[in-house]
Amino acid sequence: MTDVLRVAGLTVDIPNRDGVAVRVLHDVDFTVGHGEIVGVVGESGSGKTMLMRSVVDILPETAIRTWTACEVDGVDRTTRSRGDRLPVSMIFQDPMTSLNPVRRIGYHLVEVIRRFQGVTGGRARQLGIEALDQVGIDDPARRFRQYPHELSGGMRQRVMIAMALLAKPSLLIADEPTTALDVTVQAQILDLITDLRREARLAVALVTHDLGVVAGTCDRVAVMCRGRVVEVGTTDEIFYDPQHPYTRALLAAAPGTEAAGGSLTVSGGVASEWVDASAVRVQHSTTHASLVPAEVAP
Amino acid sequence: MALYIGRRLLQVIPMLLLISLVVFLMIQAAPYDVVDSITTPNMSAETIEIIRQRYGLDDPVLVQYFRWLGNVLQGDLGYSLVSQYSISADLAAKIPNTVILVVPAYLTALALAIGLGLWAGANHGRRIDRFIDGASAIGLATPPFWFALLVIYLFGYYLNWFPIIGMHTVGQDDLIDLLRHFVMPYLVLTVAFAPELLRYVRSSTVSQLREDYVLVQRAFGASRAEIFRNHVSRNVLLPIVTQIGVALPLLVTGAIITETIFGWPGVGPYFLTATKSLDYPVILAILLLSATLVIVGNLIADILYVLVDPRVRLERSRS
Amino acid sequence: MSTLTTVPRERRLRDALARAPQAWFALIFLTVVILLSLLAPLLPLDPDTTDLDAMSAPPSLEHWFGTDQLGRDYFARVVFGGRISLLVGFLAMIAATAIGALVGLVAGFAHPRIDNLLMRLVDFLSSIPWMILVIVASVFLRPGLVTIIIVIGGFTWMTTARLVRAETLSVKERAYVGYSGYIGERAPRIVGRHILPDALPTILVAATTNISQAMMTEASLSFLGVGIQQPMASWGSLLQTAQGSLQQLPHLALIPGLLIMATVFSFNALGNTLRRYLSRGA
Repeated sequence: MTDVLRVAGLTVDIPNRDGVAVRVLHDVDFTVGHGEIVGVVGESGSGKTMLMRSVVDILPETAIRTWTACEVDGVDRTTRSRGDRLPVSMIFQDPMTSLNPVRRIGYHLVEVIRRFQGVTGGRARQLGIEALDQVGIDDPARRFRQYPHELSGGMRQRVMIAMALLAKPSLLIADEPTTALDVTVQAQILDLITDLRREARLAVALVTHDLGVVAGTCDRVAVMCRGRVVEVGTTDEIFYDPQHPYTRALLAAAPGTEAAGGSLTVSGGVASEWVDASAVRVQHSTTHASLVPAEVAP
Repeated sequence: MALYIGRRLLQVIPMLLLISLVVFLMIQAAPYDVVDSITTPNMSAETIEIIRQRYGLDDPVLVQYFRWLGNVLQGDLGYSLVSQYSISADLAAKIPNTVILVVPAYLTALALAIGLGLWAGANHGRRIDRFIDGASAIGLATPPFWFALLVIYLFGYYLNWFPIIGMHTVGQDDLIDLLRHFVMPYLVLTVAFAPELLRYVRSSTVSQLREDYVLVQRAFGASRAEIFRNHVSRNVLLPIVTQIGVALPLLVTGAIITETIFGWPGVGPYFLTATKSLDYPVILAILLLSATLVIVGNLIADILYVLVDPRVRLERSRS
Repeated sequence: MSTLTTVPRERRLRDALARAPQAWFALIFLTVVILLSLLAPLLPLDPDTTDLDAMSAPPSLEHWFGTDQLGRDYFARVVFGGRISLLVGFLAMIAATAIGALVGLVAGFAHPRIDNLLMRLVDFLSSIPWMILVIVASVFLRPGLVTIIIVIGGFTWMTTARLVRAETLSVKERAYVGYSGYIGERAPRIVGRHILPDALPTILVAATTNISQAMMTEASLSFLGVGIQQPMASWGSLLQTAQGSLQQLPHLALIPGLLIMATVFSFNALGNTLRRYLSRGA
């Protein structure tokens, strides 16, 4: 069975203000299997977001990206033209600013429906309202007509997820989707994502700095440090048998894995202590194919 | 919504009253008044006193103020000290001339500013952006009256394409003649209005392009053109509607220098002639009128903003 | 410690200049113009001597900018005109910036009621189009050098006041300012010691805008004949004179206008570079 996403040898350089290229990703390999939720953890600035932005092609304009492989659903995507649509959707950290404030919710949805499904008019409207219903928004027909600021943060993130689903993806990338939300709402959004994985047979890459979220949600974890993936393993392996010193420090710094929230920082944020260590990569021997939950495994 | 407009109106009225009071006091403080201008040195003191009484200048200042205010509200702005003509009638003749010059120039400048500003903002940091931004910086530093002189020299004297002064050739009253007189002042005004608007559109485009929703749209496969057409331009252009309110006073005072240089019979030459002959009632009438237009214009701008921006619309109607 | 922080600061300023070629033009141009203006009386330039052999002459080696109708050397007249223009610009800028900064600081720091009162005054003055306001004021006073400085300085400080007030309000919220009040420092001392230094960049940037605005206003007023009066001359009033002979002697109009444009452009460019540098730095 092929992976939904396979990225190999990904390196990204971004020139800073003085025109000097800064390497934000070093030779990164990353895979997401079918129906799997993979957590990507690390401190801020570790390259989590840049990895995801590389995949959906929204790096800053000046960034230089090279990779040896990028396969989505087994199809090579290293070279692709601009009009080419990837079956990958991405949702972002701050649902308050993710939607255009002067466009109605419906406009956002219909635009995606037209682009990805080629449906317009009343039928698109119908699909949009159904999508809102599917992500658990009450009175979807009314919400459809409202502006983003009339919705709460949690509802807006649901709208983002509805948009993401309407693009008919095989992979959903969620970049810190709950960081900006209240704790209770966080749990609801994570539940929604987990449910969708089952219902829509969706693979998910979940970027977070919250180990509590990882423990409760993910099948597999990739730990990132200074632009490298330093350790990859099942959630159990990472939590109970961490191999890489950085992973151990990360776990030690966490206020207890059940606790939600709280920014993750190792040794007072000095990731540079792990510069040398981060060159070492730990790959747990377990193949991720066996990690797929029984109910979604083919 | 109605509540908000009502509250804004209540803020505006004291402001207008204050301005009118200041203008009235300035007329009072002027070194000579209506009576001085119609009396002659050989009139007796009694005659002058009778005239003063007839004009009500013996009444308490406050009484005079309210009488004056009452007149102003009925559209009577008093009389010119120099010509003795009604100022309201004079202005009624001058303002339309200013309007037909200012409105086309302003609309052209706005269209230019929107087009070039969006274009530059979309290409932020590239050559075309630097070029447009540089041009607007130069435009901003160009004294309009100097630019007018250049235009007059080039098109009026050197190429001899257009008449350099006035609005009509004597004896001719057709549209072609008017247009020939119109071209140069129109060009000068357009260049005078455009740079500031252009800078506004450009910087607002640049800041909109940095918004998160642009990144999100990219992630959802929208092309640059789509993002620009469907999202960014709307965010940039909505606030510009409010400019219509802000531009209101330009209808009277927008072309003072340009009109003067080109001898365009609008408010500008009227105002400056009055200034040079110390015709206080005229000067202060124009001061009152333009200040009123600024205040009313700002009110209109605020209301338009509320109507146009969905975010404000909701917050305001709730509060 | 202080050297550690000042070195990159200077380097950043240099970088900001390097990325903005127009700022270099501005620096060089303004240096030349200001030096010429300051040294004008020491130079062999006389704006009033008439050269009867060369009346209305075009630019030549002897008369770089030609002569006017009375045979006066136009280069000398332009240099001396620049003295007046720059003088008005600087003094009016200082007046406007000082009033604006003072009103802004007081409004931002004092009791909300005083703040409200001052801001209503700002609103009131801002509601009269500046052209009208300045012309009316210059009519009530006798036109001339002092009047024009007072008028421009006295009626163009409102934007500065708004900016400084906003800055003061935000600085006031910072912890150390609250602490100063807590340990009993008096208000003027707090403003002088803590708020003014923080508001200084804002004031500096406003000053560059004020000077180019003041010069532009002076030029407009003098051109309209309600500014600098004969026999004194500024760039604006030179343009007024040149208007009469535009057809025969266009260079008399071209030169002062170009200089106004370049000077205003330069001050604006410096202000923008400064703003960009300050917004990234500190």
